[in-house]
Amino acid sequence: MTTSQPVLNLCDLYVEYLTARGPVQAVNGVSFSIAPGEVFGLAGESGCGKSTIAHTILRVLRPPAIITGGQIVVKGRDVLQMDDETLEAFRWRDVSMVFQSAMNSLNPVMNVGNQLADVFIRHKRMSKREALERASELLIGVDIDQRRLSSFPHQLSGGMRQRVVIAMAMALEPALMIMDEPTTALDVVVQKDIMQQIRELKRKMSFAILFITHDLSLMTEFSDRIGIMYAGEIVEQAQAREIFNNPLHPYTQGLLGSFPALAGPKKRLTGIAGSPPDLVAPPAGCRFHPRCWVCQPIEQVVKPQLREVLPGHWLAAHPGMPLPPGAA
Amino acid sequence: MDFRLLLRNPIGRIGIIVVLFFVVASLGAPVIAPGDPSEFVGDPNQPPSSEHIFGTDPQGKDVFRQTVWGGRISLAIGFGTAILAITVAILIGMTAGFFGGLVDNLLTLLMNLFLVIPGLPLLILLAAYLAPSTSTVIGTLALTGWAFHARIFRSMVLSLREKDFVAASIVSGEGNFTILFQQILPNMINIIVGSFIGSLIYGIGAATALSFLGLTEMTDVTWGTNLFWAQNGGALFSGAWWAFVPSGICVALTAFGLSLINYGMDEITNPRLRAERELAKVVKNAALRRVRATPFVPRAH
Amino acid sequence: MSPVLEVRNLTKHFTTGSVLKSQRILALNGVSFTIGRGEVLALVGESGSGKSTTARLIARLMPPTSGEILLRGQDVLKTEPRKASRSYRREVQMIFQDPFGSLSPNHTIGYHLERPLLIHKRAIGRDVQQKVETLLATVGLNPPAEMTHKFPFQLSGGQRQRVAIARALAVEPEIILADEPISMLDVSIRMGVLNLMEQLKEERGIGFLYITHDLASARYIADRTIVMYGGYTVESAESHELMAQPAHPYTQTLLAAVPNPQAGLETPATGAPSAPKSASASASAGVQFSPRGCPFAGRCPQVKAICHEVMPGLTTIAPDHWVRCHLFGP
Repeated sequence: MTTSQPVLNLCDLYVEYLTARGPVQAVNGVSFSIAPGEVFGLAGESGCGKSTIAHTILRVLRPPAIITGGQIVVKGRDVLQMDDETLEAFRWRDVSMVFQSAMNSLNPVMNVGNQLADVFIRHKRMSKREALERASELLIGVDIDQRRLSSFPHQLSGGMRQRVVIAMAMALEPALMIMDEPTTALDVVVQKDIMQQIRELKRKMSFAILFITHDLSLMTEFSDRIGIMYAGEIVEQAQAREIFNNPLHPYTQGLLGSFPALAGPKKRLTGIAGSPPDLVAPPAGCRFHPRCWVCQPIEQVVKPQLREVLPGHWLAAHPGMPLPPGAA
Repeated sequence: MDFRLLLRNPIGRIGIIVVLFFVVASLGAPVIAPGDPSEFVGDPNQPPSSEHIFGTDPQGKDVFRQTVWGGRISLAIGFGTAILAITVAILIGMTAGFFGGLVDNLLTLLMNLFLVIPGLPLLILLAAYLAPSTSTVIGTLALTGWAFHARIFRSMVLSLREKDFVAASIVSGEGNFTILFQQILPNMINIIVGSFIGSLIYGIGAATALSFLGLTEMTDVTWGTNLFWAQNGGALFSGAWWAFVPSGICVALTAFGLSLINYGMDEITNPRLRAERELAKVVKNAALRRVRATPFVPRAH
Repeated sequence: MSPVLEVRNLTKHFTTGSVLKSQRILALNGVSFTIGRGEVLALVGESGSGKSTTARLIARLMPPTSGEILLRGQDVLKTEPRKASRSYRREVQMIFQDPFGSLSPNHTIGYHLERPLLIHKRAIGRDVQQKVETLLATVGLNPPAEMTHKFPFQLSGGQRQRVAIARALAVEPEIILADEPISMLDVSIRMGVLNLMEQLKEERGIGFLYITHDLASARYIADRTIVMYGGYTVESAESHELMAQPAHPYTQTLLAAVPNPQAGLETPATGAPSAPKSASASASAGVQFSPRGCPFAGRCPQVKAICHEVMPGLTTIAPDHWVRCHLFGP
């Protein structure tokens, strides 16, 4: 257990989207923390709230999204209490983000060098020349030839564009980088390249990473700790290896049982029947109970809290309940 | 399907009301302004009075009757033009887009030809040489107006043709025409209605212009001919503004109403525009809507 | 037993660019394989490898540049050169990758299933409704009577994909071409759809061409797997054998690149060498503009001089396992 202050401490976060049908409870009391230099993975399927959390840390969602409770403490300061000015200074310096499909949102009419330099000009008020120098250093850092400074995004491959985006996020050397599905649009070979690159950078610059993806295998290989999200809540949290070898929550088990293996005997997998709940009127108690095969009556009424049932292994369960059978 | 939504959209609603008003008024002309609008009923250039609500024109005709009866042919020409132009545009545009190849090349050439030829001179030329009548006007306006919409339809068909559900229909064994009418056309309804309304506006406006130039059947009573006679009789010089303002306003307001309907339809089909207004309904606090960062509005849980 | 579908030397070249400066894209080159009754064949490759083009050619959505498509021994490109016959359309069906795009938004589910039944005269009158409901029940969409009246936007991605499968089933085909049917679905839904396909294969003897970029799902459902790169087939074997004994350097690269949950943060990747760092070649690597030598030569960790000059032929290295690589033969 690290004694130094966590880089991110998210406490009891509640985020809603206001719609004509009523508020959608996208994030329902989520808490986790990330230690300096740690990789924390947030896993879950579409609609579970992981992207919402990522955007909320930087407070970039606009109404109808509103935060209705909690604290987000980054390096000792609560992001939710910051005013607009402080937020502007905070964004990109302390926390930066690689958005989903970011490689497709590079400005197509500006060359890569200028886009990178922009970060320095805007945030550090550097001169154009200085900024371009720093930009070329960044490109070398992500293993791109600095002659590419004058290239336009469409002249680069998907993998290279993703590296440019990562370089941009790293420019101000933040303590935490959020990566929302950074490799989803890439081929698996390029994906491996990018992940290795990120690993290298992390080793050199020791930033922490909040890593979001639905690909549980990728996440387990890459993360130190993992939180499994379902319908706006964290249902299980533990070291990556532990989640993979000893999943306790039925949803985690179902999720792991959705990935066929590349080796070993042929096993029949079933996935999980049913579909995620409507978050305007979610089920009472445990939000997973309508699809759960080990549901106890109390789960249908009282929401289970996250408890440390094994050292370092947290599970949303009611006290005194027998642990669900782990995957052997 | 979409039209109920249109009624609920406030801008579309206003548009429909305005247009309906003129349509109903024109249809109800025998009741609202009984009598022959071409009849000479009094002294010329009389200002509005209790006897003649809109006064009289330089020839001594009742302006109110002229205005109300004038709507009939003006609107008829507008609808006629729109129906003809859009039908031709659909046939040519969809054929070009769907079948591609040589057919597409030839039809696109045709479209471009009609787009390049300057409209107003062509209109004037045709109207001057052909025997003036309502059907001639409709034909002429449709001839100069179809190509613009045909190009739009062709583009839509080109993009819809690549969609998976069209490929799925082909693999199921559907014939080309079934695909065209059951899969592609239903997805184009919004664009077609928008183009129809655009054609309507063009038809009414251009017909009025032609009449004002004296190129249509001048014994008809239309908003355009009203303007012609007013100008011919020197209403402007004599200060008899009541002789031309009503017809002018009718044309302008009808076109305006149609534009509002189009705007309403735009809002329905483009979710981004709608989201702005729906946001206002859901987040009532205006200050909250304008914030740049996610607002923090804590409450008990 | 003779195969139901056989493809020989299927080739597709596209021409793009202007009249003055046209470019040829060699999307597919000399692809051959067979699919037997009740067999699942997987085509695995990255984007640009030609796998989707193969499916669209077999579905006769576009004509091939050259090659033969034999359905039960008959070359359909010769017997029905201009347009696929109704009987071909009955025997060869397709499901698409995007569950949100492959159903027409303005029609009910019932309509989608009625049309193939009516076109191919599988049912008439009141029978039609009956058959539609049976189909819906077969693919697990219950209650069928309610489902018939729903529109696609009311269904989830997984449900829409099941409708697409039901539509393909309606005509009782011999072959179903499945173009990445699960890659756009939520993870926990995917197995259900794959299991359904497997069940249909066992119960009805339908042959599947399963196209994917995901090796693991190919291993799960396919009997045989063919790996494609740059428009060429580079290796073919029984699925488990291919994953256990990959011969072609590209197959090895692919296998090494799949995330391995057992490997930790600090442990270096074991197994075959990964792609070299200079392989930041474009994502559609391999779609080359001139056929000189092996398409993988530029990225191959075991490349030899001859690889740049001469296209390797097929070499059989084990029963039912062949490779296209100079490491094994000319």
